[in-house]
Amino acid sequence: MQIILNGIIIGGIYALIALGFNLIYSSVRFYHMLYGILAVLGVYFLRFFQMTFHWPFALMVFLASFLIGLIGMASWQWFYRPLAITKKASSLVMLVLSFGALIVVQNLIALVWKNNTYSISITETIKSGYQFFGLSITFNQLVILITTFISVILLELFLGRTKWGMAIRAIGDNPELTTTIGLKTNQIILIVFFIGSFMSSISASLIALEIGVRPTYGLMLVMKAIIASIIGGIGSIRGAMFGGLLLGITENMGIYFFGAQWQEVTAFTLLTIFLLFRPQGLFQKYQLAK
Amino acid sequence: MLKKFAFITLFFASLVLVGCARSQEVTTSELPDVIKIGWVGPLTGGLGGVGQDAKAAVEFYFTEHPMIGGKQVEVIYEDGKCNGADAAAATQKLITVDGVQAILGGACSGETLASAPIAEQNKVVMISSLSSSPEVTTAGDYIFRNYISDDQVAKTMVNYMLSRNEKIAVLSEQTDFAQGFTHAIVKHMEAAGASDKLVLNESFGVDNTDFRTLLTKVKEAGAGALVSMVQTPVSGGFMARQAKELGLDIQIYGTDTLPAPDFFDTAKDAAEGAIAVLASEDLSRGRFADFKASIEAPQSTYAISAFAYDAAEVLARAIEKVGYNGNAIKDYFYTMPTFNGVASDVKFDVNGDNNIQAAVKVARDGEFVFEK
Amino acid sequence: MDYILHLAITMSIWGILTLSLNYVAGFTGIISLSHATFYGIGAYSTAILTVKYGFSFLLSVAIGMFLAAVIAYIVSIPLLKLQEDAFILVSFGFAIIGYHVLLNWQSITNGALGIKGIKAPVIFGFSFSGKPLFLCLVLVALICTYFILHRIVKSPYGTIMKNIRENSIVASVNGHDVTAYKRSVYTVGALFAALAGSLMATFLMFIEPKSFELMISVFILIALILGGMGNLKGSILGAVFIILIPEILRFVGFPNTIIGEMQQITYGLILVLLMILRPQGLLGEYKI
Repeated sequence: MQIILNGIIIGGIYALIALGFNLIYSSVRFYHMLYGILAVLGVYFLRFFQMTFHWPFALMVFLASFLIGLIGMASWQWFYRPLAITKKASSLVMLVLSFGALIVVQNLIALVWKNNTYSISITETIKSGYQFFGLSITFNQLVILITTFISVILLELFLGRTKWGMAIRAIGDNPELTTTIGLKTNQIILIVFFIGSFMSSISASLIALEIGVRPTYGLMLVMKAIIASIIGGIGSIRGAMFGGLLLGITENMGIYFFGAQWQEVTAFTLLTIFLLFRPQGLFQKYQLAK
Repeated sequence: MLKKFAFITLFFASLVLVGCARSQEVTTSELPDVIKIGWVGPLTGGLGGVGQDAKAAVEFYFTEHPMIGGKQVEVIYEDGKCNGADAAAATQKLITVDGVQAILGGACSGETLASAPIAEQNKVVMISSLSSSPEVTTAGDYIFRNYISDDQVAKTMVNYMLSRNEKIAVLSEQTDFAQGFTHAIVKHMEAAGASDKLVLNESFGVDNTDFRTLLTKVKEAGAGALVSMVQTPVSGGFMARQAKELGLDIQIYGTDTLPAPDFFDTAKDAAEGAIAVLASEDLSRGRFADFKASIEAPQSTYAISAFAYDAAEVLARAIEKVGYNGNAIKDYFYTMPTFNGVASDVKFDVNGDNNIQAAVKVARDGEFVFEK
Repeated sequence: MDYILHLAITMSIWGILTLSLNYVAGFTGIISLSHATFYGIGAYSTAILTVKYGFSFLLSVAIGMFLAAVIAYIVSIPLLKLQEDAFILVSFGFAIIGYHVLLNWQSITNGALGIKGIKAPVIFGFSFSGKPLFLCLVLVALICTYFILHRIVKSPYGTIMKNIRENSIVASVNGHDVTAYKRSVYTVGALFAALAGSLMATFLMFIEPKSFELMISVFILIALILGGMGNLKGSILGAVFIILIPEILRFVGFPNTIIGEMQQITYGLILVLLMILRPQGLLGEYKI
């Protein structure tokens, strides 16, 4: 049972990081590899705030994430857009492009803040988790799970109930459609990048509470986001959440039964199975490359 | 085809130009005007922090002692990226282009092992301050290390744990360092006839810091001792912290990768009582304390800087004594009197290994101290 | 001089890798990120067979190539059902699985510690030790690879490959069994990657799983894109660049404290600029 709970906790983390990625991917249709490293950058901002000022933790997370949101927007406006829209580059070119940018940003972070892992803490002592039915869960972990649920609900409401939300959903299907409702495609994508990057930084901050942060985590985070998004279904917020949870649980079952050295293998086997037998993911919106 | 060769020739030509401008032949035992020493280790990537610490210590030593025998020292740092292929290219570059006679490094065992054949061929001495893999022992005549082989530490650790009569679980990171160490532990458990005491032996992915499910397995296995064979102190910190969060009451053991400020920052009060069996003989003696006070807080652990500092000093002294020539330095190393270093005493055996005794320390109030 | 030979050998081995990926990705449009795995299979076959069991070099190369081909064929059956983005991801996954097998199958591969003491290749009693001789051997392998692949892509078979790349539906309407073609292409690609692996193992005399991880696959693909998809000469140029860029950066003379990161940053920037300025690569015929 503890295993499943561990899986749900780490799955909650994957879900949170997958939400923003899913949103961005479904709008622009290329692998935004920078996503992971921007989230990591957010944690470094947070750590910088924490060491410089002594503001409330939530405020600093918000501030750092806001900055990352802006950087995310900038990355679309001045970095991706000239190629993706003006030059109509293929998704593979975009993948390589953002991968190159990932290397640059990762090393810039390493240059400024060094290569080692940092842990972020709120409290000075480590408490045992809350115990119930022989299971153990800590305060941080509860926060992660609750944040995931709230984010999913808020995003679903935003996407389902507002004009902007509808436009965002439409853009993945048909960019021309949005112009007819009177919204500029580029503005919508900018908003998507802001929300996605903002979410990524919040989730990475929570992750840092649990497993720390280091420059090389950028690639790891974006990979988990990609897997969770595909399992859950591209373009589906609920899908991203369940995809993340399923990934977390499967990985932890894998660790328990096969050993931790096969963790990544379990994750990618799950991905392959889904792509082969259910390419639309758990919650279909549209199929991936078929 | 013609075009292809034209291109290749062009690039080689440009390389030759760059190369000639810098190359320098050193054959005599007399000191050259500028003593160029090579350094290979990871400067970027996952283990970049380890390499940066080692590099900082070497830099620190040569700022303190910029001259050897009245000649200027220049250290050329190359990124081995913690893998064999890059380290081999770096070593080849240092030897051919810079004409070095001695190389400090590599750090990761893979770097050392892939560079070793090149160093051997060119009669260039390598001193690794960090490679712990048992494979390095037989890597070649010109390959030395002042870092202890896993064997000694593992032996001390196993004996210590068995004397407390605990069931033992080992969680190891999938790096050459941690894996080599784990092999040594298993070997000594078998030698002591206590294989049944080893109730769990699992490895986990590099950089992974979520240990909850593994720790749950440790709990179910009923282990009383947990060997935390991590690559970085932060990972060790997370392991201690998550064990406590899961309500696991267990004695944590580790090695040189635990004692660092980062371990305590991460584990907070869960760090209390953790035991580290160290390669270093005595990190608390005078020279180390001075050294520790004079360097910045490490990205990894103090031991890494200290061993790198010792390697630099051992090499500098050898050069002063016998001149800057790989062959002479090699011969000198095998007959060298015991050197009293910052991290440990250094005395190379016939394999170029440094057989020093391991020590046991306990974490008390944010610092590892000798057990009373 | 040895340094230049060292780089020339590395470039030639990477040339074989890039050529073989070009055959798969550039000509047939199967963008695979699993190439490092086949490269690793070749390297490990040679290392294990020659060091542990005393096989001759040629035999170990043949076994390595055969093994890689068999594994590639088996893997291609489920993998090639997927297309484009989805295929990239699972090939990525396969590379990760391959890497973990090398890392975890300790009784055979010696895990993270790697295998050392691999001897220089001996062919019919003649030892290719020493860099100049080894370079000759590698160049022969490179030229053979080049001409074999060149012949194939210029043949009618190669025309069908390109048709599949441009439009697989049209190709299948024309009566070609697209999947069977793709499988055979993928298998042949793996074969040559394994050859490159065997050469690399005997060249470095030491191998470890790290040399065959996912990022290596990515770098092979980058080399291919740099040189240009669907152009064999471009592949060699791409391989030259991918090896030379970081080596040239060693000479730029960045301050010591930031040298490592600066190299990587420059490397990343070059990639970014290439994608912006010339996404079809230096000699590309086909835009990705």
